[in-house]
Amino acid sequence: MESLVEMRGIVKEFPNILANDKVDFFLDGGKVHALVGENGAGKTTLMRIMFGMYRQDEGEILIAGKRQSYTVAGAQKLGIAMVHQNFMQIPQMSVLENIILGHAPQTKARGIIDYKSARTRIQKLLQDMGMKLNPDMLVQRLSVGERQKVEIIKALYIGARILIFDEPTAVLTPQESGELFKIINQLKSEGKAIAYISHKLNEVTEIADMATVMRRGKVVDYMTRESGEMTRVRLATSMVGQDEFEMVVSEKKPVGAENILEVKNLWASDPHTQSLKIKGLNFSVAKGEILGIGGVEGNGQQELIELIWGATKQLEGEISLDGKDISHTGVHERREAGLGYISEDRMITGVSAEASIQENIVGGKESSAEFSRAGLLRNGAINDKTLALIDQFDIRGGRLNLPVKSLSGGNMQKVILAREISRNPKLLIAAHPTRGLDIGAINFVREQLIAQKEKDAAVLLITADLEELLALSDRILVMYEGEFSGEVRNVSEESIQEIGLLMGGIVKDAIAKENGGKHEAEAH
Amino acid sequence: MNITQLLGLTVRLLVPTLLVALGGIFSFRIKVFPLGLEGYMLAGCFLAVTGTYLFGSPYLGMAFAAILVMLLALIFAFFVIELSVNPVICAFAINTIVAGMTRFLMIPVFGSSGRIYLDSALALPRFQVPIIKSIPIVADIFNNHSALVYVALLLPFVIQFVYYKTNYGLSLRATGAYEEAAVAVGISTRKVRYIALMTTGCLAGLGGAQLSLTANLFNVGMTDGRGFTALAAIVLSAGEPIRAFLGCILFGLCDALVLNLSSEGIPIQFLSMLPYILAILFAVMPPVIRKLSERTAFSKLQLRIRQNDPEILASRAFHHSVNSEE
Amino acid sequence: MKQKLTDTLRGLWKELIRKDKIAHRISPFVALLLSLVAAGLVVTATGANALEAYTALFKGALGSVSSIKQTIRYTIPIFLLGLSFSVCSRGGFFAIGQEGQMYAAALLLVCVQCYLPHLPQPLMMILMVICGIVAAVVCALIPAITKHYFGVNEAMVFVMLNYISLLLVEYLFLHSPLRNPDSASYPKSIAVAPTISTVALYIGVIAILILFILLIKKSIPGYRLRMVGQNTAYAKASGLPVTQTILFSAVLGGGLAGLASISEVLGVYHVVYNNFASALGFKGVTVALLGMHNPLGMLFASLLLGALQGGSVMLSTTTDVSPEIVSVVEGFIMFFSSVNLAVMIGRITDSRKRRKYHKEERAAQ
Repeated sequence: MESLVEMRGIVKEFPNILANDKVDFFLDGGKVHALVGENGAGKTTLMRIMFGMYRQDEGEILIAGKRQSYTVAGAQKLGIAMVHQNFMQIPQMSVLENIILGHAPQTKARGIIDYKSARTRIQKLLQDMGMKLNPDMLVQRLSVGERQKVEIIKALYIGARILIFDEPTAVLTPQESGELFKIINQLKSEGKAIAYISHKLNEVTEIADMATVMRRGKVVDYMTRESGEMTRVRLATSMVGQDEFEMVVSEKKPVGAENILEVKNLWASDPHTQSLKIKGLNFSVAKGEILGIGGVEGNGQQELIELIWGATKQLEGEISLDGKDISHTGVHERREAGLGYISEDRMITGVSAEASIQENIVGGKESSAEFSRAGLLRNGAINDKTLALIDQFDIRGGRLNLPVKSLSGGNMQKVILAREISRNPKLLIAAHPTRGLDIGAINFVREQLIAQKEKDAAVLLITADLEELLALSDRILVMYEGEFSGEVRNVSEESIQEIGLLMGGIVKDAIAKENGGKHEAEAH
Repeated sequence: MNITQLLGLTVRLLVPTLLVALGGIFSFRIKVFPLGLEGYMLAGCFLAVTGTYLFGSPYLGMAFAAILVMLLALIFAFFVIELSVNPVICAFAINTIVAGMTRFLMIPVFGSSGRIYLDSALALPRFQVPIIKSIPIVADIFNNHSALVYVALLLPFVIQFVYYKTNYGLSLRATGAYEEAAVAVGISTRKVRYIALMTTGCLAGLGGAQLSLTANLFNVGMTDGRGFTALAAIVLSAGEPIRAFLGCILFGLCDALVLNLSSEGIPIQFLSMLPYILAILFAVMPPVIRKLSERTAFSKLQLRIRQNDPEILASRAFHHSVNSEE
Repeated sequence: MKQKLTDTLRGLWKELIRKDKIAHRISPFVALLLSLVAAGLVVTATGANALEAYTALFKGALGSVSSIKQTIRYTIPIFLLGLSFSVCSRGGFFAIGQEGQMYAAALLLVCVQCYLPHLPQPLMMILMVICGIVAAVVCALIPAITKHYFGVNEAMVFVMLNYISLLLVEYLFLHSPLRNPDSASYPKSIAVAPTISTVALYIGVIAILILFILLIKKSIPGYRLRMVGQNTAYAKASGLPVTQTILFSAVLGGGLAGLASISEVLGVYHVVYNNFASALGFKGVTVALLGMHNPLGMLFASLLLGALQGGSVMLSTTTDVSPEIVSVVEGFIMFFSSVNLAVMIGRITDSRKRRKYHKEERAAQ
């Protein structure tokens, strides 16, 4: 029997990255095919190609046996719909209005909307799916799970028979996840073909009929439920792979007892929805240690970083730096106390793109004795320092008065490193420090982080790149849904399987009872 | 002046501002703050009188004003949409240009500076509405007005219908609220924006036309800040036509009172200030309330955490802590 | 050796014709040219001779010593207002409420005059200056606070405050206990005693110019202002005091506007009369745009606007062209300066690239 969707030999290249490398994928009606992999594996790219958002460089897509080439508008006509992670919904409008937006039924008078027929149709769909939603309720009043249901109805309203779910439970509570699975089963029984991207392995084993694992743009494994091969262990192992590390690796050494950063009972919630993002974290980072925080993005790492460097002060719990309580202090004080921060988003929080290199170097220290006198900047001293740093950090293309945006990504990152490291921080937060960089720059950054460790600074490394995590960290904590699913000491190459499981939310020696999607893990 | 006469005057005074405000709402809805209303309105005043003078009919003069101001708005729309010009600056530039031009053109076009009067034969005809004219109190308020007054009184409801029951209205609201989502479903937000901005010009021009043609004269600087009163009404309305209507009624009443009381030596300036003060208050209130509610919600959450609320604890799946010492 | 020279020259030439920089440099001149042409067209359309009008303007502005003095006198408040707008602009804050700030300052000048008439002159002047500045600063801080803490559109608040200030001043003249009993009807004004000599004004303005340049280029608050205006997220992450900086820029902007008001009232008119600031309204904005926020550029732009105003008298005496054309020219300057030439060119090249890509796509199918 031929598949509803068949993707053959898909190749997609972006500058610097081969996102999809001869990938095959298919979807059968009435079945769920899961797509598993870490960040950057290429899953989202592949699905966006299926959805028509991107066009593949090579390879073909067959819908119901026929070769097709289409954009998003064409995908709609072919019955392909994607339930994104970021809902494209208008909060101030009602559920009904959001669903019909762009294709509202018309009355006989052109231009006037026929709300009645739209309402009838939507209510039938809601009933079929077993959803209890009020079509007139404003979307901003809905919970996240309900908003996702609206996304699904949106897809069904335009007659989708192929649905792509991108990490759908990333934003749901356990109960809502359970409801989602009921809905997916209903969709299956109606013959819809479903693609399901996820890194949560227990869910994959629960809901999927078959699974394809991707790694670095390639398909590395495929298994089906019936064959009995689809186990979480196998998924995790394939997901992370067994690689040899050619890049810079830090020498792991036993750690000194003195803690520089101590975090106690940290809780934080999203300011708008009040849903908990950080649930009672306790950890510390010692002098001369690189602590790696791993996990798939979106499990609270971003919030954790922001709490530590001071973007938000709304938290419950304690953060102390070298004995000083910084839980509620401002950013400036934290930096004065010895905090350094290499941000995950160069262009937004790392540098001011329009400003010159020396202006970026000074940022935060402009009132220090080194750079200023009597309220005026000492341009001479600033320029000297900048030139010295350009030299020391080999910032290619770096000149005084050159706006930072003219530099390449790698060199921009070097400016940031230069700034933070030259201040000899006691704690250096490095958030996704090598994202978007080429090999040379990546190695440079890693060397610098290791050098900091040698100097007895504490380094908090957050990265979704497993290789980097293993190469650099002395100790690893994996985040999952706002908590630590586990800790790995004595990091070595063999740790990779353990980490894979932890990333997928599977705690070793815990018995996870699936009860409508609710987790019950035994306490340590 | 008794109350019914006052109300009648209110109706007459509020209409120009109402038209301008209703036009401005279209811009407001697509997140372009309509600071150019004063310029549009003044241009409408001037062009209406010019047009009436040229074509010999007040209705043609009105149409002349509406069309030309709409074209002016088209230029504004082009600059803002295609050339990414800052809409605030562009709007004020237009205000300045219109103010200067209307003063400048007085002599070349009309031969006198300051004020020109139109012939009484060219005045806007007033209507005796069949049923209304017979009811005593209502007649004083609603009878004997020019055509556009009646149109304007019904317009808020028409616009309400357009916003909530038509395709364009849905697209407009979507584009203004979350443009990405609108684009994602295939709406041409560019078209939506152009139509909205041009409608603003058209209605604002009509408002100006109504102002000058009702008085049957043009006075330099005639609008005297009414464009910004309309803006205040828009801020109060948060984009809802009916609310803007109510705002304009309030401001119209203030205007009527000001006219009546100014000769009595009462400090009416504070009454005139009312629209502007209210606008600031109404703009500041929602964010203040939101911030307060967020803060209280957070403290409630904090309390639950400290009290070890079972629901909170149940949200955790793992219960161990990880420290260097262990 | 010769190779090095040619290399350097080639480098300089490349720098000069850098696409983005060029647009930046010729922008103001293009805007000016377009404005003159547009206004010229308007003049021609009314049957007058545009060239004649411009010549008259030029003569009126710079023709004689006294007219040069007039031009400079007009320039001073415009320049101060330009600095005021520019300083706020650097912090990303759209301070278009200068009129209101000026009226607020004038209000307090009058209050000091009328409630403390017997103070010795020097003391009264100092007190007036302080009060005037404080009033303008308050007027500027309100929108700054509503913007920073509550996210309210500051342009709207400024505009509303403009009218509130204006009405307060009107109340002052007509009904308040401070009103001038002699002038029961128009025009309304209240005399203010202390005066600032013209020389003092000149010196004051030059001092302010120097301080301004120092502030922007070399001082710590100037640096912070730049960073906050360019990228607030980065400023916050670096530990820069964002709130403090934004409020500081509002204070500075208000102060400069207050100084403009003081210079007009104490230095030129010696009375506060109704609507005295209305002509100055948005000239500050125009100046900042035309001068591309560069202090010297703004100085020249102010001179230009001052010249236009100074020359307008000659227009009415020697030609049929109404002096109102000057405000038309100013409006056009503001209009055309608001277009960022670099951005415009960027968009045109972008849309050409996009069309080319679409054509290729269609061909490939």
